[in-house]
Amino acid sequence: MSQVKILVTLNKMVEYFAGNSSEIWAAISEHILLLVLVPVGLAVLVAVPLGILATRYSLLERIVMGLGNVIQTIPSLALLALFIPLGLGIGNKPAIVALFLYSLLPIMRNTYTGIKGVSPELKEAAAGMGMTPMQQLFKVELPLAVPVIMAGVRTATVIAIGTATLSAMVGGGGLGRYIVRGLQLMRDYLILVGAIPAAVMALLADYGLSNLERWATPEGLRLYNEQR
Amino acid sequence: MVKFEQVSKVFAGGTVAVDNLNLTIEKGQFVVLVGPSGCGKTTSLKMINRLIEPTSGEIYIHDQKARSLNVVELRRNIGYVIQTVGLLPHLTVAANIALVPQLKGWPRAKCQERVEELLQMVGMDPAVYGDRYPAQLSGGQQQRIGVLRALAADPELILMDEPFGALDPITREQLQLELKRLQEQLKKTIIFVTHDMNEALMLADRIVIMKNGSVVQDATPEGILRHPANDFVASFIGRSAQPQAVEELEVKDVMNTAPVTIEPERGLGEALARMQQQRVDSLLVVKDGVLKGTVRARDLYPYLLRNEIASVSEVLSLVPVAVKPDTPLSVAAAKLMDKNTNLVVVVDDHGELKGVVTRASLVGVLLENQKSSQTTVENHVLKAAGGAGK
Ligand SMILES: Nc1ncnc2c1ncn2[C@@H]1O[C@H](COP(=O)(O)OP(=O)(O)O)[C@@H](O)[C@H]1O
Ligand SMILES: [Mg+2]
Repeated sequence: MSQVKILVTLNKMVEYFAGNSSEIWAAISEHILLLVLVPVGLAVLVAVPLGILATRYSLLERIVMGLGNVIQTIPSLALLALFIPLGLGIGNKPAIVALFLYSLLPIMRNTYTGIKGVSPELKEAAAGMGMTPMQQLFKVELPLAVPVIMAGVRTATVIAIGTATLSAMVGGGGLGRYIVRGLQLMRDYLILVGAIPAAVMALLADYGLSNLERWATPEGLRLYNEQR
Repeated sequence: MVKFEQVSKVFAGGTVAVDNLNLTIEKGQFVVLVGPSGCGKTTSLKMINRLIEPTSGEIYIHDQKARSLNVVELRRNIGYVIQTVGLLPHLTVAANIALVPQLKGWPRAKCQERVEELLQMVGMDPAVYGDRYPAQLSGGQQQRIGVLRALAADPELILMDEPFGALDPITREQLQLELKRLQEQLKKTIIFVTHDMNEALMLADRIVIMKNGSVVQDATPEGILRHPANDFVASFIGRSAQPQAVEELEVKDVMNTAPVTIEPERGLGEALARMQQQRVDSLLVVKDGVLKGTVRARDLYPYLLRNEIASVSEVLSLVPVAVKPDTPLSVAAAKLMDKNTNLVVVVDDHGELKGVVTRASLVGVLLENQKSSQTTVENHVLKAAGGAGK
């Protein structure tokens, strides 16, 4: 591609942004709210408890982690398409389900490793002081695992923002629509209209969530980790 | 208070950690379980608060079978201190101390009152230390908090598993003295585990020496020193035989040659980090080998609290009592006792730091000496008895 052609494409993209801003904003918010927040939020609700349970029951650990790994190895497009014949039809629904499943593993795995990573001496000290298993979980293990769990949520979110662009392939909305349309019509600038905001969002989410991660880490724990 | 009745523990895999242990511990006693690593001390201790359940036998606490008691209640009524400190890093000092009282549902005001009382008891200002995090304390201070946490809910019984094992000799000794003082004041029943015979002799009312999961000798410190039950005990109380007579010893024969030091131009933050890392409460300040003074953790806090950037040279205090390498040990010992300090520094004629002598190093020497004279006496006795044994 010559430089001139790139400039022309960029120019068309900017014009398109200017002329269709409300439609693009709608696509962005659909992307964030419906295709990222909903599936990742649901995944947190399911994966954190599963991750915790996996640390308690080794049978569950094997089932849950094995299943998570299997889901993760299915190509994302295949997973998205899988739910169409399974009765969810086309549109956002199969996309949300697929993105939800896709988010499970990173969050579950990080919850599991975060809790398993708490030093055995600390756990024993907590038990030795007379904490019930529930108190050990909520007063010791979870607070100490927060940074690791949050890192899992961040990974899941960034992956979901990218993968959500594929949902347009199964009739879903979001920024992927511009990319798909651009590919079909062979309009490079349309591809960029979808791809650039998606990339920017992924970067912003990564940045924002890593700040949140730091903010959610108890101060004493941060000092403690810095020392080790 | 605590009674072991034919208690054994065999771990999965067949290790016999505790082998038919019988032991009765009276209320108010300071009992030290001592023995080489792996002899079953920790296992015995953890069977009391049921972190480990015995394979056979029965443990009684206040004449009740431990296994019949509610395990959570049982543990809340027993203080527990471990070597790695085990303070919760995400909670402040005050919250760590108040943990068990909170678990027991004490009202907030009472918890707070108790925290202040305890901190004052070890000379730590609640206003300064209460809101700190464990990572902001020196190693010695962390373990002080570990001990206070065990005392917080005022349990009658306290279990301590090598609580001072990771501290440097000087800080360790300071904490030992404090603990002994606390115990005499509070009259708690303490079961203390260590592999360090000097520590046992310093602290115990009664010493239980263990080997391979059972008791080899159970006596007062004097009893053990005067009449070691067998060769194992004898070698255990005086591992490194020191042939020289005490009177001939000089400071350089017993000094610790690797005290923790810092340069005067270093920052206070670095000083604190070094104290945490080395688990000490004070550092000797040394410039090009020459001793300039000492810096103590508690002198750092006013600066660190105000976020002031300052160097060690600005907070250092005068050199504690100093002696020369060829000073007779008896003189150094007299200074130690006289000045009521727990260390004297050793410097040569050029002011260069050579080492430190602590109370612990003296105890070690005296013990070794006692042991060598003991064996001589015993040999005579044995010879007289025609080598028939004891
Ligand atoms: N959880 C365990 N599983 C298997 N063996 C253990 C376990 N805990 C301790 N042991 C073994 O039991 C013996 C006694 O251990 P321990 O009570 O920790 O000794 P000490 O505290 O005196 O060093 C050792 O041989 C140790 O290896
Ligand atoms: Mg041990």
